[in-house]
Amino acid sequence: MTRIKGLPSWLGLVWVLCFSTLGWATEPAITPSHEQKNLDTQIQDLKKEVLKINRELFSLEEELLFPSSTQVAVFLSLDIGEFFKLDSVQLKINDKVVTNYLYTEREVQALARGGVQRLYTGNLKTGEHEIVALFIGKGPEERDYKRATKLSITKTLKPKFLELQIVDNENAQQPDFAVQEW
Amino acid sequence: MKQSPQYGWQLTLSSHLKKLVVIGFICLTGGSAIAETRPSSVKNLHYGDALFHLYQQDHFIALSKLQQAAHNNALGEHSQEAKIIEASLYLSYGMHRYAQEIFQQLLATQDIPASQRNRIWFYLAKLAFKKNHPSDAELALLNIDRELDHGLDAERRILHAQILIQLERYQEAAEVLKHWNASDTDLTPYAQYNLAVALIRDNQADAGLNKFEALSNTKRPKSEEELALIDKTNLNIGYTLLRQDDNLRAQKRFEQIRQISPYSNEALLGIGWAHARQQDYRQALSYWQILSQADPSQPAVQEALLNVPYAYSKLGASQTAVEHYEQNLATLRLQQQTLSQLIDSINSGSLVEALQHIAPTTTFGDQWQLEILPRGQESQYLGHVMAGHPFREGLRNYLDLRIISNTLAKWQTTINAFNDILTTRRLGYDSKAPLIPVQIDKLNLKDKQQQFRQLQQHYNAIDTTKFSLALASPSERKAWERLQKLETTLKRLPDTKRNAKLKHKHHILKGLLVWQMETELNIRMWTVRKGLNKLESLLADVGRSQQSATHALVTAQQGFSGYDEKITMLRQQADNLAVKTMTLSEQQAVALQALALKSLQAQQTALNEHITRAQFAVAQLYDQAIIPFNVDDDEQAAMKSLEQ
Repeated sequence: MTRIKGLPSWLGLVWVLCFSTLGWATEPAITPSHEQKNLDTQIQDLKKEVLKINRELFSLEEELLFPSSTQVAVFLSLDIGEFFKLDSVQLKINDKVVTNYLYTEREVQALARGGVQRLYTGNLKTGEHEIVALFIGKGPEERDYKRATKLSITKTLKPKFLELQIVDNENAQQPDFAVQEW
Repeated sequence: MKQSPQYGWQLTLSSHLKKLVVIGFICLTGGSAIAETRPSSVKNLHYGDALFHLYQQDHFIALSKLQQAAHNNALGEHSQEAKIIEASLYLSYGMHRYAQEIFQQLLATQDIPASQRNRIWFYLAKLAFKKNHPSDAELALLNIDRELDHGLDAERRILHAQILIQLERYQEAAEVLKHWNASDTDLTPYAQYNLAVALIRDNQADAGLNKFEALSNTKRPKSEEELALIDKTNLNIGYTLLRQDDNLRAQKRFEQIRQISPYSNEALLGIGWAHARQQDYRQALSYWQILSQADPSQPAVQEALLNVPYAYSKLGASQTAVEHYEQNLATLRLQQQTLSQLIDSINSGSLVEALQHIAPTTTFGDQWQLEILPRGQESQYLGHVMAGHPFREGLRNYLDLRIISNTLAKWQTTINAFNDILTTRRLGYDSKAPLIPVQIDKLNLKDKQQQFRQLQQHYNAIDTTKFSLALASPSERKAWERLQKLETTLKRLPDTKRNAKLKHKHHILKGLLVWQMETELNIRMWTVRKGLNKLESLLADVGRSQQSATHALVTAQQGFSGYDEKITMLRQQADNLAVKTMTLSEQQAVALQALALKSLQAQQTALNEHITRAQFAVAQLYDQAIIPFNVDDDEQAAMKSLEQ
């Protein structure tokens, strides 16, 4: 589905600098005091507890705002993205605009590296619904490019997850846009 | 720019120091581990969602999302990969213990792929090395049974060499890096650097120096960090050559260091010594004089303040030497005073207060740039402390705690919002719920359905009998009733010609009415059928709505019931954490203060020694006529101090 590219060049540089610096030092590495170690352990435990409560709050928020019986979430993925540079996406559900999203360079990079964006989370009652996504950006040869894709879905009592996919079509040298139900 | 009332602190950092600090700090965090653990493909939305935030350096959100997805068993085939990322993120937050726990749990898993297993051993080695346990680090590395993926193998080799250097097995360290062939990676200069270090420590000084030479003579474009490393390399070569009495070559090395560099002061000092060792005290003096005009809080500058009069004394200008010693002693004493004031200020809590004024804005665990220093010259003294690893780690902990504190405050708002949502839902339910049964009773759907069934039967009867009068219009029915009455009346009348005419006319009219009703019957039947169908559908809708309302009466309660306890518990936990965070923040601030004081006191001791040396030298100059001045001893002392 989503392929990756090479490691960022800075990564190794940064990592090795650390050890190179340590390697040159003639004095032994500084060992933290017992008090600092103890404090550090307590801080690590605190962080762990904070993360645990944070997760519980996330879950609670989702349960309260988007109960599973009505929840619908729309994700967006970009496979490579050489034929399409994403600028924005408009999402309509049942002919009503539910989100307009403008992408930063950093977000596009994150998508190109395999990240999947949770574009929209909302509630829909059970039954038939129509999803329309409008993709705006630059196509091959830097031309303005605007394409829409549509999908009819049936919402049941289970959460509904949809993925908007932008995939490079190597044969056509064009981007393909699709919506997939999960 | 923030300032505490006690001491003029400001949020700035000199550019050179900043580079050094940032270089060192980034290196010592575990952040690099994160980006290395990328999957070959993403086949899960929740995992991809976490990666989306991870790649944007939103580590806290990424970690929360990963943990939530793991908790919901929603990671599918990415579970193990997600665990590695989770552990890497723990590393980047300084949560080494938990990272190690996860890595060890993963290693205990039977079905973990060899590539992941090797990568985990690599991270464990890094962890052990960071904890200053080189033997454990080496043992972890020895578990790696094949080349690492994602270009990590070059890093593994450098780490291995570093570990061996720390274990003082220099020859083995050199062996690890000798056959380095990753010429196209950015790691090459650092491999060369470490190789040179290993060779020199293995008493292969010439080979080591050659490696340093090769590194500094590299022609390709260099980053700022690499240029700083080359400067450091040249500085180290210079002093190594000075120790070998190869003064001319040392001088050339020092001259290659950039004028604007973190090492430029030490370079000027070194050039001076290179000239002094060649008995060219005039040249040495010129360099040391330039250096002595720089910031006197710098150790190299303080050294130069002593070297300038020393050079004058070597040139035979004893009077000038004495004058410079006295003048520079005044400068050093001023520094001594500044340093004492700084120590007093920190002792009275100014550093802790300045720390409290920092307003961290990003999520914890990010790579902090250290931007807290006192205003003015004192900043240089603290800069040395802040560039040190223990202080950086402590400050990072402190800032993380501040962010946790902010996060907890935000959670209080969020928890209150949850409460509001629940209260609104409960109020809505309480106001509407009692009305629903009343409305249902009022509607009396069962009676309506009974009526419908009767209508249906009636229709069926009409359909069977084709009794058109049943569907007559009101005017037809009225006409029919009149005709019936007339018929009764006509029956009572005697049989006359006139009455016969009337009866005939009645008969025709009745026939016409029947004909009209029967003609219209099919259309009327169709209309009634249509109406009945619509009514049936409406009754079904009402039935469903009634059922839904009855169902909602039960389910709506689930939207707000049972959360109170959970929210109260979370609020309680958040409150407890807030108190704990506050306590730990205070303790960490005090620990940072202690670290700063320890370093400043060491600098104070060094400064006091300089002053004593200067005073002794002045006394020697005054007594020169009686006791010959032993310049060699002084030079040795200065060089020793410099090397330290």
